[in-house]
Amino acid sequence: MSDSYVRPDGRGTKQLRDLKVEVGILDRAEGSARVDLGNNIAVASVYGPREMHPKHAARSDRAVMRVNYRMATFSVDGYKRSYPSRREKEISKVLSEAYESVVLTKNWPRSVIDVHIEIFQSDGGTRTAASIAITAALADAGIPMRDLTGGIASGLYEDHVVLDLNGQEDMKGTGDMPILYSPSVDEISLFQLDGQFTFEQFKEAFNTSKTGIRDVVEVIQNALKEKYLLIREQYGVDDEDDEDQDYDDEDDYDEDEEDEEEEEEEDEEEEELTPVPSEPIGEAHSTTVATDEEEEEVTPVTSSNFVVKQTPTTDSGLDETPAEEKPSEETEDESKEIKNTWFNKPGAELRPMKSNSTSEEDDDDSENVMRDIEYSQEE
Amino acid sequence: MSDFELIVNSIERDHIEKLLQDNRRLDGRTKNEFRDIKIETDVIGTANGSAIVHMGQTKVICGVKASFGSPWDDSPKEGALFVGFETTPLSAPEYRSGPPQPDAIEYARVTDRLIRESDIIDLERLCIIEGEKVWQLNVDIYALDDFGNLFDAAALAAFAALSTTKIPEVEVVNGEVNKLETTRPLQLSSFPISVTTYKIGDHFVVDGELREEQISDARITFGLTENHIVSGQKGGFGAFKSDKVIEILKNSIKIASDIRAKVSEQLPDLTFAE
Repeated sequence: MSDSYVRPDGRGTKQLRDLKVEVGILDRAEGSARVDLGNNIAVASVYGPREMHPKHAARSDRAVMRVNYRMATFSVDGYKRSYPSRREKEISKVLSEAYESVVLTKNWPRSVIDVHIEIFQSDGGTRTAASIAITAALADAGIPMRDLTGGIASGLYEDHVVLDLNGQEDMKGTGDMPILYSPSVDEISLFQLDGQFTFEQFKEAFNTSKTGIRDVVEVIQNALKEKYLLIREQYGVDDEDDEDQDYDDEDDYDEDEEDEEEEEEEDEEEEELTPVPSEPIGEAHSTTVATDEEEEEVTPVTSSNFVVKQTPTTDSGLDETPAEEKPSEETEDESKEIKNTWFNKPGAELRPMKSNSTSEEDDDDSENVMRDIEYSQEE
Repeated sequence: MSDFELIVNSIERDHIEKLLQDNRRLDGRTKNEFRDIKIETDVIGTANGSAIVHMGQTKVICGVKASFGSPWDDSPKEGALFVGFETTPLSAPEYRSGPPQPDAIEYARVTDRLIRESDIIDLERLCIIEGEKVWQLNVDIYALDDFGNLFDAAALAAFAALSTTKIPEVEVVNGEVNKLETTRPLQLSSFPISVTTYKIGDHFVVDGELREEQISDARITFGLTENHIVSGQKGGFGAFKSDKVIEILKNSIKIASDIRAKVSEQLPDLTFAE
């Protein structure tokens, strides 16, 4: 089984499709994420922990994870009926159970954490795209987890063990094995398989997925980091930040100054509360993750571009990226950025983005006016 | 789950775990031992094939119906196969009638994958008129008594029922399809076995009975033919260390071949296609 095999879409056997993760894309939800895995588009939202309804489904020692996986009617070739299919119900069940083992549910007895996941465009591997979105959305909601879990499938296509099957490979392939894996606690929380694997192929596929998931988790981590860096930038926490000047400009508003202080306090709190999702909390058998290391890795980002660009993974040492892919990548990213405009940017609900709008001052003013109104109402 | 159940469960769990430290279980088995399996075949006259499987106290019944149907557009030469599972209110107090609950859907879909992916039936032999008329096989399993591990019982029942299934021979006259009096058996080409392993604390047991299933952290089911791993499903709220998954699979392969040998003795009609 040679690694030089080139798949129909030009990928190597152990190469992920382009993966892009954005967090905080929805305003109403407590946490949200959009995942583009190849041609899959998955959007996840998190509500809760909140009171369990119906009551009898509550558990007195822990929260229930209730994952609801659905596919949009236009997400497939042809038209998908809007009522949940048996497949959707099964995937909802296995995803719910998977996240029971990842989320620290004992923190909220008798409650429920609702995760809704909608697939808007599908091309093989939707449940793994869904899981990536769920993990990112849960972390975005600040829900403590034992680890960042990633999901990916490996399967058999033309007798090769390949990572992350697309729709065509899934149809024609002879095996598919999606898993969810938490790298730092080394746990499999979802496992499904169908097809015809020999034991050796199974082992290869299993290890291929585990390696692939490390890359997936890194992308999730980067997406979360970028959101928090963006918030920090917008609130001007960093001393060298330009935004401090912005505040000075607004000094003529008396109340606004108070407001600003308040906001800064809040912000500090937020900094402390910022979940470090990769750090397992509580449980004895969790291993510590080198979060310090991650801090060092943080590099300044341009706020205009927070979309995590995942170049095909080469650092895993598994595969070489074909050289001709590089030029095409730029055009691809451009088209994707256009596609992404149908969602708000992360952090946009907090403050208009500086580099994004030329009429930034106007926006700021209008926000201040809003705050003034709130103030007068309180008085 | 009520507080009462939680307390009872934790007491019972302690007890079960203590036993498992000495490789003992509530019903006297060891960790890698299945309950006794008893299979009766041809139990339903109206079905084309049928079987009842007893696995300890767990009982399921399976019937196979063959009827005329249309082929899928993308496989005009192949018959159709459907596997269903119902956790009937007969089998446990918590099951209700009405639309299938997630549990039942999972049992059905996992069993469907096992039968389908094992290539047990040559679907092309079920073709009557290409692109128009094919045999449609409905393999439906009903739980009678849920004393745990319906996955493995369902797989055995489906296989046993298929092994006894006889399809009417047909003649095609001017595009008309007539059923003849004579029948032919399905020719099976593999023998898939399902092995479910339950995780209880640090222990792993196969074929959990009811209480073990209820207090287990997680379970993992492997569907295994003679040479391949054809299906898999993890369930339950816990997780498995990744090296354990490989270990469990190795163990399951060994157990599957034992069960295959034992069960074959109980299926006198069992013949495989060359």
